[in-house]
Formats: sequence, structure tokens, C-alpha cells
Amino acid sequence: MNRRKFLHRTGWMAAGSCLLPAFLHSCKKSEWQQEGQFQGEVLIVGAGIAGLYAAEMLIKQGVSVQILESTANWGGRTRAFPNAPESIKSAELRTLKGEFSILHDLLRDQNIELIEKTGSELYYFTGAINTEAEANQNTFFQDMLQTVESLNTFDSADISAQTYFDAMDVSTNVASIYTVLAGQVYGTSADRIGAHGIANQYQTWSAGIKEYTITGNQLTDAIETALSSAIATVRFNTVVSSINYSGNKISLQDSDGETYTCDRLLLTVPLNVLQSGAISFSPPLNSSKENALSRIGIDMSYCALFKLENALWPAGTTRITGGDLVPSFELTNDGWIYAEVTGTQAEVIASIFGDPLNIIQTQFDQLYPGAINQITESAIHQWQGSRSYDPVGVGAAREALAASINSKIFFAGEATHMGGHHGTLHGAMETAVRAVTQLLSSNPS
Amino acid sequence: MRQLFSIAFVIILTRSVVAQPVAQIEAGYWRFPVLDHVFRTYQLSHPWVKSEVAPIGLSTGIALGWNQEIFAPRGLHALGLVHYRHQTTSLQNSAIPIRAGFHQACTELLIRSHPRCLIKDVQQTGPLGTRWYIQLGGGYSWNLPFAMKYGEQVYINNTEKYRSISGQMHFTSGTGWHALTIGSLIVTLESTLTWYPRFTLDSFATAVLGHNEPALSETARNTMLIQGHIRFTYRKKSKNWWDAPRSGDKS
Repeated sequence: MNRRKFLHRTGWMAAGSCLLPAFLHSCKKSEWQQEGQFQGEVLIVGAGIAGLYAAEMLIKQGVSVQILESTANWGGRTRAFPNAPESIKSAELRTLKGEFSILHDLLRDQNIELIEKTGSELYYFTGAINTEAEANQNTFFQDMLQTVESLNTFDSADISAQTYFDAMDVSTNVASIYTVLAGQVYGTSADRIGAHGIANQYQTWSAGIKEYTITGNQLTDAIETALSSAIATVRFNTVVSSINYSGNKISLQDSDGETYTCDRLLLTVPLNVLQSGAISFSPPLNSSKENALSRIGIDMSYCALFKLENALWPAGTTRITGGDLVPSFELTNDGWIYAEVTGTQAEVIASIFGDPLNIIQTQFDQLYPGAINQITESAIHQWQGSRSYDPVGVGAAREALAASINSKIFFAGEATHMGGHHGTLHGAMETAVRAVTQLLSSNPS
Repeated sequence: MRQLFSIAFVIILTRSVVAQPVAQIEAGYWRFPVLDHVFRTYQLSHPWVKSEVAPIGLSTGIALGWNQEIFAPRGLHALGLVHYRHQTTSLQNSAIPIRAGFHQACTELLIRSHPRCLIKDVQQTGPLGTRWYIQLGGGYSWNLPFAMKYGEQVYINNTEKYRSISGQMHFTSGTGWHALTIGSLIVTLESTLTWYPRFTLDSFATAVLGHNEPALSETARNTMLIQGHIRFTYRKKSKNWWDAPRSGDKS
């Protein structure tokens, strides 16, 4: 072999060895777009965060989308007080859990300043307000915390958190605190949530451990910018009452008798709407779906926000836990108080004769006597369904609820989350990703 | 079983003393549909992001090992290699930077010869057998995936940061050409196709996407790695195809 031949061969082989991988890599697509991808018309019922986000993803894929929303607002439960005046909306306190979620990405991309939650908490028990240090010296409190923590690894036969606390002989002096830690934070009360549900959510949570505080307007402003294409497709005040999926096309009718048709339907309505039977299906939902609807829990809730002339608590305090009917209050340095009551406690408030807002404020007055006379602004909103939770024996109900019907009707929304993020906004968004990926590759049977 | 391993270890150690040491630089392309799906889902789920996070395709790596003549009349040689490969993708210059990929360590044993040598003895070959060759072999590899968001290692559950080691078998075929000698070094150009019947990256989809909602499979079937190698072998014998081509040379 002569030198020229050698150089020729060597050069080609070396270039081939190095360039072939780079060439093959450059042929890889990064977009979702795939051969045979669905390209028809899609209707989405519900303009909550799941519906909007799903619509934005579909629009980006070139799919024709329209959203039908029963109220006059988009965003669903992204706002705690959808009908309140602007001063209340802008003062809304929202906690964002997890630094590795899609919602966190959305807010970061919109340059929203995320302030990590710091500060101290107060605990009310045995008739007195205790600082964290004082509470930690109390044996009952320590035992209660350990019992709450042990729920995270619970793996025996499923029981309610309340039954577990009773079995562990946790002092009733701190009952209102564990009602928050193992009940209200999950959207219900300790007597309703299952120990398996708590353990499962803890063990599968993958959004990170940091917590951030954001105000209502920051959240809704960011969503409005990031999902603007989706918001433009919303048809407001359209209450869907029936869905017929017996033919090739899916046909929907609203409460005014108007009909809509589509090739695929994405349902993102709250769980309580499906449970109530407000939407009729033809043919009816199968037994697996009906069973799933009855096994997943969702409670009514009250969200209350009020402002005192001056903060009555030490600066830097973020929460006081341990009220009776209202187990916890979120606090700010400038005197705002936010309370969310769900589960048994919310139903007790509803059953008491009187204004629920006044009842909640009176509860706060028991912690800080005289506070009720300092209130300058207030608002309350009652949610028929706050967020879903896992009651005792929920099993695989979420998987059954999330399953599509004949690859034509898809389900999204926080209640369909199967990986521990149910009851959260980012969980609702994640279900939209699942539903959209299913929809884009759907071939109806 | 322990005795068998001990005996095998002693044999390998003994033979490696008389073998030719090898160092190799690698560039590769992954055909990895499940991982591609993870990154495409990430892209799909961030419709407001202008830039793209590309699927993992390219890998680079190095390998060290030894070459041993095992049956000279048929030009059969064995090549034992320990590889390290690194493959990554990232979304930079964004408010939501992400970097994800995996490291891979791999042990591999390859047998090589010229096809004609399988049916006919050859009298003269170079120190590494025939100049052009084909090879077959297999091995076991271990994967250490990683996912960083905002410069931080992500959490896979409430308490644990993402760290997961998994492993799988693979089979390799390839062809190469001993191109030239530089002093005592023989430079070889080679391309290989590695097949992983099952490739496992535990919880990788959850780590990248932040959730496991799309219910992506963590085990990929029929994953392929196409590689180009430049190998340097230290020769102890004086044979040299470049300076003096021999009759047994099959190039």
C-alpha cells in the first residue's frame, strides 16, 4: 500500500468513525411531532390550570382546540377568591410546593420572584400560644409529631389517620394540630383521609422539598402570559350538561341547549362535578369509572382572607396552628390572615347558623382576643370541591379515573394524578401532560 | 462459584501480563426510543420555552484493556476492555436550565479474526492478527443517571436526591482496521454496534420530568449504540504491517 492510498483510507475511516455518530444525532427530532399524530378537533371541558395547559400544548402541536368553561373566569382553583375585589385577589397568599415542578418552571420562565418560605410558626394548645421552641419541649407535642411522621411509612391494613392517632394514644390536647398535619394539608380532615394515602403521597412526591410564597396576582399573571394562546380559546359561561360519544364524533350539549362536536374530548372538570352527575354520559360511564368516582374523596372548603389594622403576632410568623374549628391560619407581617377549612370542620361551619366568614373570624378572635374588632377587609369563598384526597381503601381508583374511554375521551385534573401530586396545581398540570400524550397518539377503538 | 472466579481471575491476570495494553477513544450515537420519548415529553410539557432540549444522541468515552492472541493459526485475538462513557443533554441560556444524562461503566470481552481465517489457517499475521477484522463479544454495563435543574440535583422523592445505579448485559459486533504504527503504538480505526436487549435507567423519566404521570417505561428494549473508535495498542513484538506487509495480511 502506498502512502497516498494509506492516507486516503485512513482519512475516510477516521472521518467516518467520528462523523457518523454526529450525523445520526443531528437526524434526531426533539419535538413531539410524530408520524400519524392526531390532528383533528379537540374540545376541552374546564378552563382550570389542567385545561389551559393541555390546550397550550395541543395548540403548539397544531391541533384545533376550544375550551368550554362553566364560569366567567379562567384558572379554576388557581384563584382562592375568584369573585373577590382586586385588593383581595392581589393579597391572596399561595404556597408553591416543590422546586422541580412544571409550575415552578413556568413561574421561573416568566421571571416571577419566588421567595422561599422562611419564618417561624406558632402552635395553640392547652389554652396558650406556644412558640416552636416551647412546643418542642412539650411531651404531647413531640409524641404527636413523631406519630405524624410515622404515617409516612405506614404499611399495615389501611385505616384513617384519626384511627391511627387514637390507636397510638396521641393526646387530644394536640388533636387540632394533627388535624392540620394529617388532614387539612391534604384537603380534608384526619377522620377521612387514609393512612395509605398519606404514606403513598409522601413516598412518591418528586417535586422537591422547598416551599415558596407567591401572591395570587403573580400566579395568575404568569399563567395568563405563558398560556395566552389557550386562554384565547375559552368560551365562558358554558355549562356542559351531556356528552354523547356513541358515534364517530363526540357530541356535547350545554345547559342552553347548544351543541358542540369534536373528534376528541378532554375532561378536566373538578372531581365533585363528575361525582354529582351534573354531566350525563351516553353511553353511561362503565362500572370501573363509576367505582373510581365513588372511592376518591373530595370535600367542600371555605377559603377566608381578612386583614387586621396591625399584626398581633411577632414579625416573621407565617402560621398559627391549633384552632378548634379552623385548625390553622396563615399570617403575614402586614396583618393579612388566610384560612382554609376543609373536611369535617368545614361541614360543621356550614351547619352552624350564621355567616361562615364571621365564624372563622370569631375562631381567630379566640386565639387573639379583640382581633375581630381590627378587621378592615375580608372575603370568603366556598368551594364545593377543594382538592381530592385518598380516603381509606382508595386502591387504584385514580388509575381507573385517569383511563381514557375508547381513546376518545380523556381525563385530566388533579384528581387523576397517579403519582402523589394530586391536590396540587402542578399535579393538575402533570395530568394534562399525560392526557395530551395519550390524545396525540390516540387511535379510537 | 467463588473458586471459578478466582481461577478465571488468575488466568486473566497471567495472560494480561503477556498481552498488549490497549487504550481507546470513543464517539457514539444512541438509538434510545424510550429516552428520546422522555426528552420529547419534556419539550412538549414546556410549550412556553423557546429553546430546545435535544434527546440524548451523542456519547463520548474512553476504554482501557488488553489484547491477547489466543489462537495464532486462525488469527484469533481476544480483547478485554473496561469502558467509561458519558452522555448528556441540556437546556442552557434559559430561566429553567436542565442538564440530564448518564454515566456508564462497562466491561467487555471481544473475540476477533478475519472471516477467511475461520475456515483456513493463516501463516503470517501482524501482532494484532489480520489487518482488517471483524469482532463479536459481549459484556455487562452499569449506568449512573443524573438530572440537574437550576444547577441542583433533583429529588426523586421527599427525602432522596436522585441517585440510581442499574445494570444490564449487552452484545457487540464490529469491524476495524489496523491503520498505522507510530513507534511502538498501533493505531486502529473501528466501528461497532452494541445491542442492549433491556436497558434500565431507574426513575430517569421521573427525575427529568419531575413526575411519573406519562407512565413511561423505565426499561427500554432493543437499545443500540453505534460507535466509532480510535484505538492505540502498545506492541511488544516487532511485526509491522505498514513497514513490511506480509503474505498473511488480509487487508
